[in-house]
This record gives sequence, C-alpha cells and structure tokens, in this order.
Amino acid sequence: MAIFNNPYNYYNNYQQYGQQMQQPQQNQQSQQIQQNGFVSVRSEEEAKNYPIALGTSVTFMDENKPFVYAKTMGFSQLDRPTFKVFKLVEQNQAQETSFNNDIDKSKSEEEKALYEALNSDIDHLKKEVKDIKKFMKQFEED
Amino acid sequence: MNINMLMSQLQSIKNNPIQFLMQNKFNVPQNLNSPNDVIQHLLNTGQINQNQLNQANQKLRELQNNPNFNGLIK
Repeated sequence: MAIFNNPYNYYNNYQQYGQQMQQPQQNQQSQQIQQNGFVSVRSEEEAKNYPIALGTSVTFMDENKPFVYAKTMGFSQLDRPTFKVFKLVEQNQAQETSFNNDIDKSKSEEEKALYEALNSDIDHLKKEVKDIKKFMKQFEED
Repeated sequence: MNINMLMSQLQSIKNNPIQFLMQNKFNVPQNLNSPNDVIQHLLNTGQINQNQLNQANQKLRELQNNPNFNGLIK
C-alpha cells in the first residue's frame, strides 16, 4: 500500500490530535491564579463574555478604545469572576518632566522649611549665649 | 449494536454532525447551544486550557483582520 496515497493518513493524524486534546491540562494542586498574556477584544462586552478557566486571570486589550480589562476566576465554579476596567493614559515626555519638577519643588520646599527651623534654633542659641556672657561680665564686675 | 441503532446513529450524524461530534468526542451536554457555553464546558472539564483558547482566539482574530478572508469569518 502506497503511504503517500493512503486516504486514512488524515484520520490517523486527527486521532492523535484528539488524544492530545484529551490529556489533562490543569494542575490545581498549586492554588495560584495563573496569568496569561494580553487577549485582543473589540469591546468590553466581548471581554465580559470571554470564557475563562478556574484559577486563571486573563487581561484584555480593547482594540477600539484605550482600555484594558482584567478578568479573574476563582477556584470554585460557584464563584463569580471579578472584572476590572483600567483606562490607559499615555505618559509623554513633557508630562514626565513636569511630574519630576513637582517632586523637586516639594523637596526644595521641605529643605527650605528645615533650613529655616535650624536658623531659628541657631538664632535662639546665639541669644542665650549673649545673655550668659552679659551675666558673667556683670558677675565679674561685681 | 443492532442494525436499527446503527441506522439511527448514522441519521443523527447526517442531521447534525457537529452536535454528534461534541456529544461523543467531547462529552458536551445537549443543552449547551452557544459557542461560549461549549468552550466554558471544555475549560471546566480540562479538555482544553486557557492558553489554547487564547491562542485559538488570536488566530481567529488574525484571520478576521486578514483582507483575504474579509467577510468569510465573523
């Protein structure tokens, strides 16, 4: 029988594929939520309806809007999946510089306040030393 | 298995081959009609995993976005 012309080759390949599909895939002994990569969806509705396995978390990227959705399923079929929506905000160079400037500004104000407090303490100490010297001088004269 | 049962099974295959395949190959109950329900059943029974589903979905999305298949796949 010629191998290449065997019409049953396709059936044999299909059988092997079926056997692979039936092998147990999930290991639920380690009870940790498994993360997967981004899945593209066209709408929030599609993300909400997307089938998700127990103990898994899937993150979706909306193709039409700047949103990311995260759907997490617990370890029990009785649990309802949690669904979170995140809005993507682009952080460009100008915004990053102004953000850093705000940090620098707040730092310098803090330093300024500390410097002023130290200065005031030094002035107070100087005044006390002056008073003591005056008292000592008076005492010596007497 | 007698000839009548064989004939009956052949008839059900002819009428709805996908349903026959789902029930006998993947043990999908008859009351599950929507694709998402069927997929959820396969996930719950461990016959497919989340990665396989995501990859299949990705391939489907690529085909949908391919202009050569435009309109053929929904």
